Amino acid sequence: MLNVALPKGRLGEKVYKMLERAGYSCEELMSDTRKLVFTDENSGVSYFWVKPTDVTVYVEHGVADIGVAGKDILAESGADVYELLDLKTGRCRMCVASVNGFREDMSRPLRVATKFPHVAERHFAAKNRDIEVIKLYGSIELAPILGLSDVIVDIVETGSTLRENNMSVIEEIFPISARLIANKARFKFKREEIEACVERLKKELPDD
Amino acid sequence: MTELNLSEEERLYFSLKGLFESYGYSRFQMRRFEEYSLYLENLNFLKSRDIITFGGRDGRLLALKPDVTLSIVKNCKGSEEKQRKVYYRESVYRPDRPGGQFREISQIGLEYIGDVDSYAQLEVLFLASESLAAIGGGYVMDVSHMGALEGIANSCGMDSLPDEVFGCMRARNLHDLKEVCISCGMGEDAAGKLRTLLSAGGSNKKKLTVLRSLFPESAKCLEAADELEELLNALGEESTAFGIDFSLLNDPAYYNGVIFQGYIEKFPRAVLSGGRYDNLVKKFGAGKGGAGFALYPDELDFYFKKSREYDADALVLYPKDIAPAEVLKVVKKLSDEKKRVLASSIVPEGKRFKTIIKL
Repeated sequence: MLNVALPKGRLGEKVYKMLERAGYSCEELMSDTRKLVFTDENSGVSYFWVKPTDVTVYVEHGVADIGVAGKDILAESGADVYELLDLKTGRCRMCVASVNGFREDMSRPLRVATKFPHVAERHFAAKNRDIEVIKLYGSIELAPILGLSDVIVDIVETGSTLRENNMSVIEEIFPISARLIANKARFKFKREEIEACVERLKKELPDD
Repeated sequence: MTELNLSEEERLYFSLKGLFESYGYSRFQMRRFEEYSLYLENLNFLKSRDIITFGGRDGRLLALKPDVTLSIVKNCKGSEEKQRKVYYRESVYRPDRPGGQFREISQIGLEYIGDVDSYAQLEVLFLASESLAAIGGGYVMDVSHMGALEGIANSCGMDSLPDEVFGCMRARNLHDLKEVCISCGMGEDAAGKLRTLLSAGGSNKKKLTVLRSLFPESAKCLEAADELEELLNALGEESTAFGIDFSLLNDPAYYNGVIFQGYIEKFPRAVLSGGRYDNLVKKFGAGKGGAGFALYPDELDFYFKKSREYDADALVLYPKDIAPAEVLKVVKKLSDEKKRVLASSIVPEGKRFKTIIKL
């Protein structure tokens, strides 16, 4: 039996469809119910929906053998897990962005508003640029518009929110997509099952 | 006396103490703190760079020790002994995970410092395996060789593989490996070889054949393959729990030979890690080499969930006006019968007892 943590929301549902096509179906999962754990003995799988940022926590603690998490969440959490497959879905980019016409003042630390402080710190530290991180939990784009920060480090999907707010991408940090992750210890004991799942999922990946 | 109510950590320690002493290791005890400079000069050896520091009375900067091996190797500096065999049970102080809170983490381990010959290497690996078995349940020991990684790096014209490549290898992230290798200047061919090596499945013998066939020109890779093969053969039946996994990596500045990591069925992380660290020993002038391992028993109790059904076998409930000697007599009698007894004039809230004896 494979225990799978899926992220609540559109991405999780999309990945579940891939899992379903790969032979890991669980009819009840998409039904309107208050149940938290869904098991399908025939498919040999047990699913649970969790907040996207919590998937790495469930997998790292071995409660879930495998899970689905965005590269953004993996990079921010630094979770010690195996990253077994790029699911090539939920694609977007981690970017530095600011208001159009922004000119960086190198005589002082750069003020960066973000939901991803570790990603921001690592990125600018690699360039030896001193920054001040302002951690926000939403509406990141507001920060440079209202003068709370110089730039933002955030996920950019189509760029339309930026454009509508007279902002643009200054630099791309890394591309993002959903990844299939596995607990390192569980992988040792359920290797065949997990690797079979990876192989079956590979056949369901969207084209590049 | 009743049977001791030992925690998993205590039970494991006493079992390992017997094991280690029977193989000629003696207990090493140390202070809780060291000079901060010891850690500052060896930051890459540590699991975390976050260290709790405080000022000594003479102005020296001290640190609560985040690691045990460094202290032992430092203690062996200039030692004339050809071999030093020690084991320890100590606390280390470091964050439980990157960015996490500081915690006191208990560690049980063993170090062999000095002339680490083939037998010494085998003994350390064997005792690591026995230590995992002592926890109980199924276990797996991942094993790799830093020499193989050095050989691979050399074949790409590098002293060691870049950190970014290490990151991909550790995460078994084969999908990003090619791009990362190329961005680090390693070339597509090397990326392909690394990918083949990491994805090789099957028996240990097969994985070693893959290593040999991918890097036939690298003496270091071939030596590493031979050493791993010899060790696994020498372990005999014990080797069935050993699996070669080249995604297991340590810092090459300190580790040079065989490295290993142990997993048990009920625990979500590696519970044991160790390896050959000649480079560290040489850096300290503490001898020719070193090998050892540490076991992290802190959370075993949680994952083994062995809680007792009752808080005590008997509650002796006595009236307030009773003579104390009378109560003691009853409690002692029950205790002599190897029962756990709690005597009280009131029924303690939230506790469960097998029997209640009213006096």
